[in-house]
Amino acid sequence: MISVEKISKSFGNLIALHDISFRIERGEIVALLGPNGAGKTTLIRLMTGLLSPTEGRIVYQDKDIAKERVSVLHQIGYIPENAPLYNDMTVFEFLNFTAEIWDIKEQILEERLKHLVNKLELKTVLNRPIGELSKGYRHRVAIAGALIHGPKILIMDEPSEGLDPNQKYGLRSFIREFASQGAVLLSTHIMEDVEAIANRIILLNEGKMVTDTTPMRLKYQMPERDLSSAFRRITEKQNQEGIRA
Amino acid sequence: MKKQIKAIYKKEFYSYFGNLSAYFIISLYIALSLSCALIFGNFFSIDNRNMVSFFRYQPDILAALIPGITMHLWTDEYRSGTIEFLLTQPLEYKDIIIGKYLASVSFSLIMLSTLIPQMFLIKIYGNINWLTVLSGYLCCALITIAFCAVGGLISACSKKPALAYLGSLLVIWSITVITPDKISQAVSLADLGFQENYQNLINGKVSLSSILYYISMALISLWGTIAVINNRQKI
Repeated sequence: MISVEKISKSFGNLIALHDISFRIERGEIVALLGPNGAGKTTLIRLMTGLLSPTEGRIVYQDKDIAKERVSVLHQIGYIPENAPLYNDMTVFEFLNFTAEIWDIKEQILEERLKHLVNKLELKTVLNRPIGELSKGYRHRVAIAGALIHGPKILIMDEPSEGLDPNQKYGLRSFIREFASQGAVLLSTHIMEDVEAIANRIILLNEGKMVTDTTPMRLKYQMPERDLSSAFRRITEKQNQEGIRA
Repeated sequence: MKKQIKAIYKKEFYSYFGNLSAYFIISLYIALSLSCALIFGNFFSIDNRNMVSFFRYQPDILAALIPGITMHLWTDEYRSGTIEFLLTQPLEYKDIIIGKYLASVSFSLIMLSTLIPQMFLIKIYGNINWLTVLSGYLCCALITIAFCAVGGLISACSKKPALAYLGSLLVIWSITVITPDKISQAVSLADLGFQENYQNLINGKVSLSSILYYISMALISLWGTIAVINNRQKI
């Protein structure tokens, strides 16, 4: 579904990402891990067309996002970090605005809205201004907005940041269900999320891809048999080697 | 109009009326136009058939108020992070820019339309030269179209509304005050002066070059905005 091919991104002299390559197939939930500043958000911004790569390309079903941005965006649902939304709009106005941008036919829109509102339990807040909603509801509104055009790929940047345990549980169920028909890439540093839903981990550190494996394999590589320790050991080891070099 | 441009336009246009600042700007415009005309424009002592008292101060009033209309166009998107939402929608960047620009122009023209009743105020006191007055209105509309584009460009360059306002004010004021008349006269390009084109239009001398002067100012600014947004995307 997605092919990231030898991607590098520099900002002036700073190399934010260096020679990253991987593929994501249908049914996969891929967790993009890494310490702060590892390049997760830059990679996500490249994958959503917000940034252009310095080298390499990102291809969605044979379409290069740098060349066919608008066409590729039809396949992607993207939820940025902190789910930025228009606070002065009501939930209904926001979803309607998004649907207008995607030019969705009225009948299809009606069905999709009904489905998303039920699925994400938004009925009670439909006519409330987004600015008055809790973080959990804002997230759900952002998800509804990202899925209104029926994308096959969902990209989420720190999706469970600031959510309470119940909201996290609901989000995970939703991601699992979505992945049964598409693919999900989520950037996070919450290991609990990774263990609960991801079936693959891509670990970034200092702009380089350190590992591409399953959570289980990563876990059992370490004597502690736990993802947080594995994450710490790998990234700390890399950083120390970097300092020595 | 493309559906996407229409969607952006509607969102922006209604957002002006979502708070009190829109009504404040319109009220301020009426108050400034009237007070400038009546107090500084010698309304009662000069021949106002061409509404000279009203039109004389319009560039200054519009230069002060239009930055207040355009300052939020992009700064709010940057501050709230919705720029990421907007730029990952299936929109060409130029569509977003046009939608936002048209919304600011529409709002400004509504503000400008409050000048129309003032025409009838003049009529009470004497005759009115309708063609010249229409030319004056056309001139104000053209200034609005140009200033909104300049304000939008400055807003796209800044993350803070106050900075966008001050920046737009400075640039627009420079355009109106520091006219390149002397330089342009020296090189036989007299049409480049803001004041000269403005005076021509409010005196009823409608010429294609004067109209093109303001339209090209708007087009250059819109092109600049596209470059800024593209550049932000590429970083």
